[in-house]
Amino acid sequence: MCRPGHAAILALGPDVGTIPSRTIGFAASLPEIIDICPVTELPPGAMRVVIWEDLEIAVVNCRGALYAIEDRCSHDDGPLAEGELHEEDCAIECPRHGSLFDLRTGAPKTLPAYAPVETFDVRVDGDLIKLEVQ
Amino acid sequence: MAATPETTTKILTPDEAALRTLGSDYTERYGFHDAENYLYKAPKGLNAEIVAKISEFKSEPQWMREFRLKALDYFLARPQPTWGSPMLADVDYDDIHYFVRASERSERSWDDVPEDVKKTFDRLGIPEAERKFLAGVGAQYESEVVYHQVNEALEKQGVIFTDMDTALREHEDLVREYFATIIPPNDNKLAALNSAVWSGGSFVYVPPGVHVEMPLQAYFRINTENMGQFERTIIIADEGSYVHYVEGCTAPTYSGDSLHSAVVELIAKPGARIRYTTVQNWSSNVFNLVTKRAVAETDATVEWVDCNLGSKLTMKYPSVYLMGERAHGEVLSIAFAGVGQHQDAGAKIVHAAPNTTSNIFAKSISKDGGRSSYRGLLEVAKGAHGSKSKVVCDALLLDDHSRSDTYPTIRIGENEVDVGHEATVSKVGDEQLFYLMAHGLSEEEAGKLIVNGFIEPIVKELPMEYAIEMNRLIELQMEGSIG
Repeated sequence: MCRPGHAAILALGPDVGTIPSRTIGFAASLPEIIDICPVTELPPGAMRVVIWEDLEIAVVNCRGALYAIEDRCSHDDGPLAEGELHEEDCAIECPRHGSLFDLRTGAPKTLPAYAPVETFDVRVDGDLIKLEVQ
Repeated sequence: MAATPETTTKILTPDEAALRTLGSDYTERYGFHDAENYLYKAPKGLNAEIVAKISEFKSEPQWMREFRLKALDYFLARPQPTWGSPMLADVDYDDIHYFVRASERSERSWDDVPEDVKKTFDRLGIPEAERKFLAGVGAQYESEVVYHQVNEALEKQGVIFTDMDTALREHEDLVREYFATIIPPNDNKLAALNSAVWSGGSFVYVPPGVHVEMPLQAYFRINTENMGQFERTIIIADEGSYVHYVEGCTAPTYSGDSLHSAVVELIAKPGARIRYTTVQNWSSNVFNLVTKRAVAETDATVEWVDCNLGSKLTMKYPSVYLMGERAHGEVLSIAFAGVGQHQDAGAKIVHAAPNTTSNIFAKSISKDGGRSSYRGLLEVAKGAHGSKSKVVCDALLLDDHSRSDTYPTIRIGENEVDVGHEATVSKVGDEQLFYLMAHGLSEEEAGKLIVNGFIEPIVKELPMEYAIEMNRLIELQMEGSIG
């Protein structure tokens, strides 16, 4: 169970852990920056899931570019990070009914999902991947 | 013990005599089958080798071959659905021929179609219909389209109406842009199956502003026992255009089951209108498990007119996603379930944009122990304010041992909407029959009149030639059902 102010990092690989997040600002609505992992631990083609408050976010390395997308299909809440990454067009396929989501915008590229999911800013700071949530 | 022929005869009125002959004529009109002079018939069962062979036969690009093989994995990984109908458990995927090639290529002249196949379509009246009232025709026999023709004037206006295999060869970019965007391969088990082994079907593109005034028609025919037909159809109506596509389907009556599992994707661009009419009259040994879905963009209209008369089990829920403001979706559905049949039909409409409108009118008739179900979804997404929808499903039961079920689902995510749902179930009552008989009709005629009146609001939406055929088919189904 994730406590406020903490983010659980679920790697879709061998390492799973929980690290404390770093709060910036005072109000809850201000952006918060979460440390995800060292850049070397998320090579191209890799994904990991971050649980932040009641949100699950998939952080994805697609051909060297980093993206973060809500880990929830807008069609029936399927876990996107358990689906296949389409590296040629940086999209992720919902494993439940096959909707394809654009990692850059969160918009579905195919039905049956028709509503976009949230995307988040992700950046590299030093050798760490950081995620901005709000 | 041999039966003694009856020697007493009843004098029949001309109407009664005509009805007697109607009763046995599925076999005569549609249920016949030809000798199998095939170029290739895959062994029963499905594996990667057969899928790769289909792709190889068609000399497809690598991306399509990969698409098929991945879809096969999805199909194998997914369990057989357990909702819908208990009959679904009887589908034996290992007892199906997944690819049968009857002809070298799709011809543009009837004279070049193989003789047996030509005779079949002549008997079904296809060339005659083309001459009389169609803008184009496609005829699919087993796995592939054997004949395709489109009105020259339409071709000059840029209308593409061809079989899907040819479209993939001649318009690859256009096909790739839209293929499986409306129904992805992992949408459901049957869509995955179709994606792996699809063959034939139609590809239609109507350029901006072009109105195709006469319908385009495709006719699907299964000839072999234990055959699987998996056509794939895409219709793209570009901005402000209009097209009406009609499909019909029949098969011989066999003791072994066949499987028909199509995928149909419709894209109506802003201001366009697509009407898609189906008169499904498969023989009673065909599982008809079809995925049909449409997208209507701003100010566009998509209408499905769906008539299900034949098959052992039909599970089909044509859907419309109203993605642009003021888009309109409509599903008109008739299902007729006779002895041993389950028609699980319905509709889905998703209002994903403001001020969108939709209607679903579903009529079902059950007789002789047949079962018909209406299964529908109406969804209004958050933000789709000002949307209006009306769902009406009516069921008519002709006897005490038939069954009708209604499974409507409505999800509303927006406050300012206008949604109505009405459902009725009725039985042909003795009073109605008595009233009509008191006006000089026979009991059978009275029953037919009641049924025809029941479905009339939908039949009148069909082009005249199909409305006549539909009424004839209903009469055929109705024989001997009253009294």
